[in-house]
Amino acid sequence: MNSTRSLRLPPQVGQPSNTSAMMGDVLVALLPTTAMAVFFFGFRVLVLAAVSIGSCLLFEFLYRRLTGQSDTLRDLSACVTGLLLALSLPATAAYWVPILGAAFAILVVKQFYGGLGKNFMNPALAGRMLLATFPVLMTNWSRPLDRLPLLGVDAVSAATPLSYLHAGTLPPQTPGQLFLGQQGGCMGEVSAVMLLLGGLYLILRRVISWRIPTAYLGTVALLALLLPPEGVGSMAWMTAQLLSGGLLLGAFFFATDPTTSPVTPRGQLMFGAGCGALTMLLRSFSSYPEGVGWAILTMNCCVWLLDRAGMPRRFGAGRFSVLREWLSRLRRNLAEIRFIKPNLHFTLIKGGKMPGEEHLDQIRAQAKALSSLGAVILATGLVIFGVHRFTDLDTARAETEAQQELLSQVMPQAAFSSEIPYRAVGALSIQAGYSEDNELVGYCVEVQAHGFGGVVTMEVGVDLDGRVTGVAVTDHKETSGVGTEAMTPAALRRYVGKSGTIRSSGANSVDAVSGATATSQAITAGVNRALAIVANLDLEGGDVSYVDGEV
Amino acid sequence: MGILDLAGVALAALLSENFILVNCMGIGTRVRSFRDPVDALRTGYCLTVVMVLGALCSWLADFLVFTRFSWQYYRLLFLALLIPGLVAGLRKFIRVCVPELSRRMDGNLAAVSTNCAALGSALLVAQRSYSLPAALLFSFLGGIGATVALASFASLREEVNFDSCPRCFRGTPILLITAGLMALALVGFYGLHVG
Repeated sequence: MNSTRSLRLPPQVGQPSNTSAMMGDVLVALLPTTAMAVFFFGFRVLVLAAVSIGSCLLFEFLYRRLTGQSDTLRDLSACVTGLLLALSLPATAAYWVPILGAAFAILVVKQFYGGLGKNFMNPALAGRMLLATFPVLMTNWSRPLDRLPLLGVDAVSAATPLSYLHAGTLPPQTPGQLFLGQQGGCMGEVSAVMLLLGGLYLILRRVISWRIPTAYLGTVALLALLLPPEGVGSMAWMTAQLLSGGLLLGAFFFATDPTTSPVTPRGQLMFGAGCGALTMLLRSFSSYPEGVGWAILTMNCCVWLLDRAGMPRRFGAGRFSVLREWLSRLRRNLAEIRFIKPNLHFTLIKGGKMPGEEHLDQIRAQAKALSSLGAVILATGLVIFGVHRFTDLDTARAETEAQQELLSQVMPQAAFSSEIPYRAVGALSIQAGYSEDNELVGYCVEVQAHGFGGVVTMEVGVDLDGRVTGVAVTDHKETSGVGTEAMTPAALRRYVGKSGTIRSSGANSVDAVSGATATSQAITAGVNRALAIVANLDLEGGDVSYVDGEV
Repeated sequence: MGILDLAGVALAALLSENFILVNCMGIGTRVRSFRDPVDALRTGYCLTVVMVLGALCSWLADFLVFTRFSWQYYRLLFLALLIPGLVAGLRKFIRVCVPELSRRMDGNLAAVSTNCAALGSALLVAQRSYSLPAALLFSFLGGIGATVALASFASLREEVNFDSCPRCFRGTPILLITAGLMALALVGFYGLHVG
């Protein structure tokens, strides 16, 4: 090695030549980011990183030892996995969190497939995203410069810039603050300048290729520039998208993992572009505010495909010769498939045309097969019909009871309700509630809003003064135990008596339930919509009054 | 139903409700399709065709008969008969008219008749009362998504060595873990909402 290097003309730049040197370079590149994280979040960062690296090394050592394989601690890949895993966690994470992530990353994602270089998914990122599916763990973001104690964290949770971007508005931080890292978020992702520094170092040392980060960041920048939300300048939107969240960390350190990214140059460009497009799709439309990790994991599964699609052309071959050859082969292949005009003759009996023994036997066999099929279908149909008839009344009764219960929950002062002949945009149904002595008390509006896992359907009762009398969630797809925290009777009771437009903070507000922000926002949006519908209903005038006499 | 809603349905079918990886409707897909990429692609094509035809029939039956007479309780019986009947008809047609195609695909097509995704897409289309374009788009892109998932899974077997895990994990367990990891990547698309 040294002899070949000395033959070259100076100046000579040393280039990493083996795995441990490459991994060492990645560790060096992560140093400024780690230092910045310590500055922003305190020494807890160092302890978390040490726990994470230590558990990665321990799991790797134990697995290799117990399965009788060679020791691989010296290639430093477990250190890199551990440090990356720690840096992609929030600083408020408990100490068992990186241990769980490390166990998943090292054992399941990496070693089950044979260790370094044989896994198909980035271990650190897979560990991080597994932890992200525990929603409460990953929603507690501390403010920067809010140095955390080593034990017993009780940090003030702050909104990250991404939650603003997710809602389609610019974050309150200036671009300079975002660039230096004065924003909430994971430990390693806050400081854009330090990440750029580390990334440039890796590119200059040729540990990673420039293609993936450039294609990734370029796609994100282009999409942000072309499709800003209404009322936001495209340049400001692009800057905010590029500088906030885990984008730079992902683009420089996660997407460029040599094992789980394509090796062909064109494949690398396509990989980066795919990551960028998926990131923007997820950031705009998904339930999670951040999409970098999911995008890279999804693209990791397609690496083999991109490598084949980006295969460089053989030397001397024409520009599209491979494609042309493939097309002609495909055409030859498909040409074998020919449509043959069928020779149709609609006869059930293939034997003689004349009625005879053979004929009757054939008919009998066919009739037997068909009649047994028909009998089974008929019997099933009859059974279904009978069961339906039997349970129909019970279903109807249960439905009425459920509706009555819903009414007592939504509008306690009403005795019964009836549908009104009035439709409003956004309302699934509007019912008028009446008191014991037939007086109109208010309206129950069924509305929908988009929550975390899908549509949340709710019934909102509004009295004639435009105040909420009660809210009930009738159908939802939220995560049990997390999103449903925002649907407990206590949480829903906070809306009673509110009127006008309910906000999420300030005057006339209902706070979001911690850990169930998306669901809380959905319920608030639904209540607001119902209030608006009833307010406009009253403006329309007395065309509802005639229902009063009917009932 | 606007373009945006259609795009939402399309993306959901392709990613966030991927029939194989997320909705767990890969049950009934024949084992060879998880091993051999060519077989996976053939099964995927057959599945897509059957899903689109099934969704069309299911939508028509639902629109013309079931909702009109409120016979929704016959839906499951009808679909359970529809999909195998559809597959049998297709097989007969292909065997008579396009014998070469039948020689290549007959096994895959026959295996599709009990596939969960084919039955599931027809049922989902009826249950969610999609409009006709949305129903066709949903089943078509659902089929494409299933094809991509099957093919990428089958080709992972050429890329990745599945024999270096502990002995008790070899065979089906490591394949299930791999499918789980691929599904983990798609968790982020949960609740994707366009518009």
